[in-house]
Amino acid sequence: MENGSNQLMVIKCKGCDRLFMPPKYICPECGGPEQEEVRLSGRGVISTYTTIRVPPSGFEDQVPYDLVVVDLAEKLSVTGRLAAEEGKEPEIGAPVSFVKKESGAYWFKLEA
Amino acid sequence: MKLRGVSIIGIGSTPFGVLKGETLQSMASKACNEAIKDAGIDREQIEAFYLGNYISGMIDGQETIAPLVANSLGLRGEIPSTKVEGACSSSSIALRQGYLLVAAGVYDIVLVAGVEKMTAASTEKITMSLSASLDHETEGLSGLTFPGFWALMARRHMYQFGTTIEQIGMVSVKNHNNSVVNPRARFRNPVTLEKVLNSRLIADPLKLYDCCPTSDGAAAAVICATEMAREYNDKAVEIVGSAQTTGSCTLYGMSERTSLPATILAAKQAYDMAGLKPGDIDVVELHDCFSIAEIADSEDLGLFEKGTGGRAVESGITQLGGKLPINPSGGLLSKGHPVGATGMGQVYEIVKQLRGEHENQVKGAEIGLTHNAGGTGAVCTVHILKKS
Repeated sequence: MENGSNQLMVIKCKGCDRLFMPPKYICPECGGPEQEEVRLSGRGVISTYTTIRVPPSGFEDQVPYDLVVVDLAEKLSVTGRLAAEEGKEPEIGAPVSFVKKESGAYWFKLEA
Repeated sequence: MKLRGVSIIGIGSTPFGVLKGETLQSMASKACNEAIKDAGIDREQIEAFYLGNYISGMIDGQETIAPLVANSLGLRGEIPSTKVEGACSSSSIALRQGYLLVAAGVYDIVLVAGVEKMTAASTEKITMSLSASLDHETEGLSGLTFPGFWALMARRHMYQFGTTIEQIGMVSVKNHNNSVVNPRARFRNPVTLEKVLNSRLIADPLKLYDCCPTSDGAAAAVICATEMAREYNDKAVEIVGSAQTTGSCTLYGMSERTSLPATILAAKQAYDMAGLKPGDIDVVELHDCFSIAEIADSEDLGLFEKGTGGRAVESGITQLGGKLPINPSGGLLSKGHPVGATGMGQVYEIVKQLRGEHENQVKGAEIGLTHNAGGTGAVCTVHILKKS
């Protein structure tokens, strides 16, 4: 899953079918130890957002940048980066789509 | 299992702030020694020592600090010295551990404390330490920070409940005003709402004055079985409610992004244990790591209906002289947040209130509540204290 892929891959528990953002070592719902990877649509809406202006270590050359919490269509949520776009501002409820996973961060972009 | 009553018979604290020349050991020793003297006990009577600290290893390269402080104080070798870590909640968890052992009858007298040294560290070390309680296998990789976490909560709170940026800023104004007379506070200057709203953005919409400062500091208490408290002095304060719960370590893992579930659970447990309701509380020291946090915490603690915390601040109810003063010490925002010491610092302030000795004394305060949440609300402790 760490290959900069543009497919949104998540974990599905083989025991109870619950979906989780990776990694999951055992299923916190049913305790099952076996999981598989599944691909999601990448579509979701913005639950909330912010602009980070004081960075954590390693992000100094990226500020300011936008973070979003996305509620995905498949009823899972994820915290990710929002790709900056001229003239487009994030809004709660705005539709977004998954772009790529890079260095552990999930990137999204605003849909028109 | 029948638990017996536990009381706080002595307290001690350093100031919170930039304490040049003070170290983990010097601050913890001073706060503990003050608590021992305040209790009127001999150090030989202490049967266990719990020391809360968040991140001395990363900041100072110093681990194993509980026995270091025990050695410094001359505590007996027969007793255990244990470091407790729970992010911002470290020292209130230390209190909880000591409380449980005295309540269960394992020990009669226990020393609990918290300490953190932050201001002498490089920016890089501090930045790393502040992000250390994010989940580094998931959300921590997104570039999130703690101001960012609470900014995400603030935006959602504003969207769902109509909370305004001015109401959020009023928390900072109130708490900075409160700490003016508190000699233990890092900041002792009032700020205007204009100053808060015009300060520089840290993580939109939160600004500099919406964020608590790093600090140095230590605070401590001696606790003992309530039935023995009178042997030592008549200033004992009883711990009538004590709870510690676990929450989500990520924001995306929460279904409600305007609340800390661990606070709601801990508050309920503490109230049930004490046989009290939110309306019985006279004074509160809660976890205002960011201004919006005070609003969310006050709702999660059941002090105000969900979504009305912003209006409550605006109405003046939570100011000194209001119906329910919150953070009369200045809170984390203005008294300061030496992470591992904060929990015991809150306890120190509430004990002073219940003894009738606080600089911002709440008239007739008989029941006080401390609320301490760690990290993303991953840990929460609530204590309810009652004047004896």
